Amino acid sequence: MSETPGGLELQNLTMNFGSVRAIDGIDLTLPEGKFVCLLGPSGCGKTTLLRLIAGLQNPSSGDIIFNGKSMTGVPSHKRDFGMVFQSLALFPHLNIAQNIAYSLRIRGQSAAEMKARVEELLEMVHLPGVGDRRITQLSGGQRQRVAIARALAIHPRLFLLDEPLSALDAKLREAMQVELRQLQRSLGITTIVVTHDQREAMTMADHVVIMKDGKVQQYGPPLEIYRKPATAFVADFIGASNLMPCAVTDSAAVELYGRKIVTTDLSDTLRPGQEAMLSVRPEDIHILSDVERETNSLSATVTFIRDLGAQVEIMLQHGEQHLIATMTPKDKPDVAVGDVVCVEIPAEACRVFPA
Amino acid sequence: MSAMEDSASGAARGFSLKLLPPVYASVMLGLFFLIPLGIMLAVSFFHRVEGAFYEPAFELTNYARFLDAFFIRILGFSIGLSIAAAVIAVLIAFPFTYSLTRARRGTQIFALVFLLAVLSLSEVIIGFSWSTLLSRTAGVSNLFVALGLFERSAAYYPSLPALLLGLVYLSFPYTVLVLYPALSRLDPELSEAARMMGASPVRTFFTVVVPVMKRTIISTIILAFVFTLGAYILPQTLGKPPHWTLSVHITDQAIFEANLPFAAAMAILLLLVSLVMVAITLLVGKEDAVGGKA
Amino acid sequence: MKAIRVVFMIAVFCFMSAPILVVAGVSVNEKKRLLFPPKGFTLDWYGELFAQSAWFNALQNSVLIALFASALAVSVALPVALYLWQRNSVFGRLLFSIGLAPFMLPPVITALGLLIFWVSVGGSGHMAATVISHGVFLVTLPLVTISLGLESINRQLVEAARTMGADEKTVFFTVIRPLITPYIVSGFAFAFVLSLNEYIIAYMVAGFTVETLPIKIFNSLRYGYTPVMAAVAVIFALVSVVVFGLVARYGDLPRLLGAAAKDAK
Repeated sequence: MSETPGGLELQNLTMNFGSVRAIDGIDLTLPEGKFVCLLGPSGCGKTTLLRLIAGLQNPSSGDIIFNGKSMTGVPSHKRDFGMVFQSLALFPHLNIAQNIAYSLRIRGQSAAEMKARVEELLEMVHLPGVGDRRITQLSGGQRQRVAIARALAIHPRLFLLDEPLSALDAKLREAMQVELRQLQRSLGITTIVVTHDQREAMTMADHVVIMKDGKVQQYGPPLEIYRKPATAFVADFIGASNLMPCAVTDSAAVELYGRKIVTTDLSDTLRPGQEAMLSVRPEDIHILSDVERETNSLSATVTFIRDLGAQVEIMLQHGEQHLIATMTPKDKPDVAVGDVVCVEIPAEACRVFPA
Repeated sequence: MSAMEDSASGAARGFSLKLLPPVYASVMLGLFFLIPLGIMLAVSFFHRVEGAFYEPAFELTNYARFLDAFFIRILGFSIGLSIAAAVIAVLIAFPFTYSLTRARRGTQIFALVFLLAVLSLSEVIIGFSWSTLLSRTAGVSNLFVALGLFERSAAYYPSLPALLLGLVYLSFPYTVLVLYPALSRLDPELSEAARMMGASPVRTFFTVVVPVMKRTIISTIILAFVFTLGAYILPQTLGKPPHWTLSVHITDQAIFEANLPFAAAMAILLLLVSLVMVAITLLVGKEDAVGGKA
Repeated sequence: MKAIRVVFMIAVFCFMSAPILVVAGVSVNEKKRLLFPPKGFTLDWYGELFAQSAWFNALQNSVLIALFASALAVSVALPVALYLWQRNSVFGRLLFSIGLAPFMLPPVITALGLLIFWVSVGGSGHMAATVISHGVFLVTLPLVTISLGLESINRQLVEAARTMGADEKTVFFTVIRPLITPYIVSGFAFAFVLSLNEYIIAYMVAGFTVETLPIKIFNSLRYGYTPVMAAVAVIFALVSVVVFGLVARYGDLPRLLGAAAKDAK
């Protein structure tokens, strides 16, 4: 390896395109050797952030520190990073071996060295012996592997991928997610992947960065983000959520459509009387056919039942409020469309955010 | 009932009316483009009659006359000059267009409007403008004198370099506009990938942009070559009589020598050269498309 | 690196604008001499263009021919483009290639063909012959722009209109025509500007009787210099800039010239 892979620190990073602020003062430290996903809706700035790290664009202000050194003024071709592009960007005028050896040739390696390394890389991505084929002779998944091999040829200090799997069909994409994760783990290289697919992020990442409007909404391990979303946006974006407007009544309860909901999640920043947003995961909602409880329940009408075989989704409505509950088939309650049921909202399943 | 009848007869009428516009267009193109070329081909075999244009015949004298060393030299000179101008124009236009497609949209529009304006300028006006710029009394040499580079101003035309300069100027906007679509559709991630792998901007340009665009460059040179081959005014205004190209001689024979059959024969030869060249670009382009699909 | 690129682009821009700038300078000379930098300042030579009947006549001829010829070019190009778009037949492609040919070949070939044609049928020397010749020669430009416009139309729009009961004619007038109008207008504009500037066809077909401005300039050039030529050159350059500027202002010029659509970033 040319150097040990290192950690990355973003300091008050800002990027303006004209009057649009694509990246808005991001401070973030990404640990060494980890797999990090930048996740967010389109236009949230995740690709711009990756391009700033790659040096393909220069930030308007702020700094990027890699391995303790500022990257400001270091052009992309001198950073020794590897990158896989959304379009893959495989060179159509070169064959597969020449594509993979491109960065080695630039670094003046001998023909024998290059040949050995290319074979090693093709072996690594399970494509042995295809070196002298044209790019156009490969399938989408194979091209994907070549792009990954090419980016890793120089043992890069940082491995960047911009929506690398978006061109693949669903099945292949899932398989490549697992493969990419295993590859990263075996190489131990610090890796940053941009994606808009939360399932992809949950599959691969050690840490997920949730972005919106150029800002970081939440940063942490994927399960922690799923269980404890920091904002209503994150709750809604990661997995499905039932978001309901409510009002804080005291330090342990909120009022929801006139009903008292006890919760274990109220933070100090929320004062009694304040408007808030209650979030409950669909799998945490219980549907009871018996009478209403005193607290933590709501009456609702069943509007639709979607039975997917492996999972059942029940759509409910309380006034104007739509709710969704999911469960395994064996837990499916005996209800039909039009039934009025009691919906239980467990206290430990509630998350309350400022409105 | 009547509505049904209406729509039925409407459909019948619509069918005949529908064909009217394409028939009109075909007639116009056939009558005023293909037939004139056909007549020209016929005339190229006719017999020239002094003082009275020509009379129908079938003889190859007009083509035989072309084998004369004088006209072979003209053809050779025309082709050589056009190739030189086309190559120089593409050498400048390729990096220019590449930079242009990477510039801001406002800059691109400004440059495109400007280049379109120059492209559409009459060759007469371009010839006049360059002859002014290269003249003794109003030209750049006055600038050199003012800068103290030269003792006294001089005229730089008519001369071969002046003509070549004019032809490069003439074909440059055309070349840029031919290159523009291909270069602006070139995936910027290709260059970025090269940068990430350690290639400097210059190295990226020569190891990625130029090889990827190889076929485009070749066909652009050919198209620029055919374009300059058509230059007619510049050889007369910026060059000397020995620099007159085939286009000039065709007009000269047609208008001043009143030898339409010989002019027609030369035009047919020019047509053949151009068609072969255009066919080559189509073939080059086709290979590109096949290579992309296979 | 970026600095080198900017310097290079500016240098090319200077090279491309130098002749026009010198001519603009020459056109405001007070004396009737070819001098640069100009001595004194006057706009009289621009006035001469309208005052001298020979120049004004040429101006009138040029504008009339350009107007009618570009209208004719559009009238031929529109059905060809539509025909190819509606049915991608061999005949459609052939017609399209014939429409492209005049512009791909050295113009002297078309010019000589038209000269012999008009001499044979007896239209040589008439303005109508110039109009028709220019109209057919310049078909390429509206043909290319209108085809680009048609390509940008989602065919399901047509199908949607058909399911709602529109016949082919109604579809054309209510869906297609409104969508391609900008492309028709720019095709007309391109043809207009090029007709104004065209020399060799106008010269061969009717050059001795119907003098256009380029013919007038070239003829005058043989007898010596007059600043009116410089004034005409400047006006022509300005007209081109204004017309293409308008096309860019109201249309998507990069798209029209073959760049991918704006949002395809």
